[in-house]
Amino acid sequence: MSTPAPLVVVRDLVKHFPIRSGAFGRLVGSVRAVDGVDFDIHRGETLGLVGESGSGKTTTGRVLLRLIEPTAGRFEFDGDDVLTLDREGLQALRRRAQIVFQDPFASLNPRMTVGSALREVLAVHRLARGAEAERRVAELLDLVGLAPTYAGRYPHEFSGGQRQRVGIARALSVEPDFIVCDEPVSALDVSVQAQVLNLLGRLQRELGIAYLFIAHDLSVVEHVSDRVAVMYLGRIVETAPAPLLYSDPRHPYTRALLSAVPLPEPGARRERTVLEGDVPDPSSPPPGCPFHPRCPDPRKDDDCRTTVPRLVQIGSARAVACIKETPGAYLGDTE
Amino acid sequence: MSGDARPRAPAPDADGPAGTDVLPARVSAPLLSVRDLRTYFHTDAGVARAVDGISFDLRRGEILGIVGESGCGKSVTSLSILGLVPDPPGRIMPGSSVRLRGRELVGLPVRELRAVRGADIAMIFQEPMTSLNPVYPVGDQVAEPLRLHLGLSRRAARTRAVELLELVGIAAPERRVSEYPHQLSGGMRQRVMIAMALACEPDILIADEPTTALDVTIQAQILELIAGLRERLGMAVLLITHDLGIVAETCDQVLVMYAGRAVESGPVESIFRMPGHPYTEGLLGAVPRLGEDADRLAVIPGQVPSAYAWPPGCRFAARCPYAWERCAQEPPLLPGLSVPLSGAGVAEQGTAARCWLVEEPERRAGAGFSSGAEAAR
Repeated sequence: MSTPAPLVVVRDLVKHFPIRSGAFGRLVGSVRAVDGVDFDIHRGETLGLVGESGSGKTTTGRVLLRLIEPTAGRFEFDGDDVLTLDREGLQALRRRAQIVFQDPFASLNPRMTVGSALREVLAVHRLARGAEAERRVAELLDLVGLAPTYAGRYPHEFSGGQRQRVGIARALSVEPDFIVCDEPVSALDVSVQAQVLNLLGRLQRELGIAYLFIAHDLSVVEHVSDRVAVMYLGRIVETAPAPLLYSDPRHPYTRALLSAVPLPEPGARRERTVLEGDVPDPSSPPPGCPFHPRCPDPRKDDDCRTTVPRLVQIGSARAVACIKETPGAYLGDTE
Repeated sequence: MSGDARPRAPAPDADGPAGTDVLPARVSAPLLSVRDLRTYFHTDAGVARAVDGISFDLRRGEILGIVGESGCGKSVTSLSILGLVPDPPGRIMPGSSVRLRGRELVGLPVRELRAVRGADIAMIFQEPMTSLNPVYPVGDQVAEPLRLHLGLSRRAARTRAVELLELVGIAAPERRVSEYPHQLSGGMRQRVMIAMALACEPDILIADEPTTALDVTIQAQILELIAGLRERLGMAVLLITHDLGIVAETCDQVLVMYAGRAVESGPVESIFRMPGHPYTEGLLGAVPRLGEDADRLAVIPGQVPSAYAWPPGCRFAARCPYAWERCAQEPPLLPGLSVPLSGAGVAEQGTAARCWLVEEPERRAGAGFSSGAEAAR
């Protein structure tokens, strides 16, 4: 069986935000939000992207839709080079790739009924007008589990979970192949979160959509993802199929992250690795392995402090960026 | 398997003066005793019964978790204890009682309440940035309650502030005392808040979603810190959270709130092993669990009713898969909490659920939460 080409191919993606200071906006440094990220996503597949604040996961998601222009790297969508697209090409991309944001309220116009917000998308992309658009709006609302009569309501009339359904309906309106879900459930209560997660799962099964699912909650990511990539300070430190990553994490950061999640089972308390300190400032990342200042078990020699580990494939499906796992795999000396 | 052997309650000798310490912790007199607390908000839209009859006891060295979703009244409960609910529109209704070592706090003049705040009961909030004053160095803010409540001199207060910052695990505390909140990370700010709260060695720490704004590795640090302080200082902790994982890992007792009321309470282990109330059961089923490959999550259909018009009968009935006619008409009681919980008559493992299923358990058969209907129309 030959593997079909991936829908999304990302290579060496870099986004540095300049830090300017003073009256003339002198460049004084840069925040290295995304610092060389590679991944593939296949059709109908979910790649979970986890990491803590400042890991660059949100920036990665936005760069894919070119809501933020990357500094360097390559991004192909279904074989097309996205980063060289002109205006028209970008419009066409956004008919196939969409995004669902964390805060659906902030991303909906409060003065527009939900129906008109959805009709606007259909009009912009010249997908439907008039009675056809009305019919489509009703269909979309039904698809996300909202009564079609809700089309006449304003965003403030909805609860958080319902608003997120509207956000999903809007993303679905163009019948995309790929949706970036940026923390879609982190603002929701557990019971409502379960509703939205089940909805996303059902839509994927029915419509074959691929997701990049960005979240900080590891249990949620495990639940929805086929594969998971763990980010730390702008880099992917480990990636593997979800069951493998969760049962046998190899990178010390993944291990610590997993052990930090409180389990809803009293007495199930495991040996916990509590990491010292905070995530370093991405404008002045530490030399060597970005994780070494917090690593509970760095190498005795100075290699962890001086060399940047490369993300190396081990086995058929897993890749890890840790020289303890793959000795000798450096990106090169400290820049 | 269920971890019954895990030591949760503190050593008995942490409990009160010598002579009473022969009693197990659960039977000793409570430090804080809340009875029938009702906090209503009187607004133009009507009366919102945010907290509508909450009762619980908190004992020395115990961590009690109050868990519930947005709007269940858990935060208003914690604010009511210290009289911090803005009045108007909020009002603690007559008949409510909050006793600290037997002393009634409801209706206490602000002056006297202020002496309780910080000295006996301290509180930390979700967002440390908004609770810290941005224009003062953190050391001054930690020192303020020391000067105010304990009358320490400026110098003594500063020395103590450094000690406190060290106690909560801040590296280089001598340097950090002169830094401003914006110079600290989120986790460090929360540590400063905890240091401030601990300044006067309160008996009770109320922590309202103390880690919700923090990353999971930092959350682990803070929870570990709170649990450690309980061990070392014998402090009682009231932990308000929406995260069942945090409750399972840090609390001894839990109170599950729904629609302004306690729907279930008891020792954490008993309740997580066998939830008595359908809402608790639904919540536990809705959480994705690390390492468990559930295809679908259980879903609690529908939404929380409005605090302006709680339904008659059981407030959860409309969302409950087991509900029958009785539930919509007769409000179920929470057995055990209508009588004082502190009495020795309450069993050690005593759990209580506000549900008619307690009387008619056979109705449980054949029903339950499904994962199919994720739609909430």
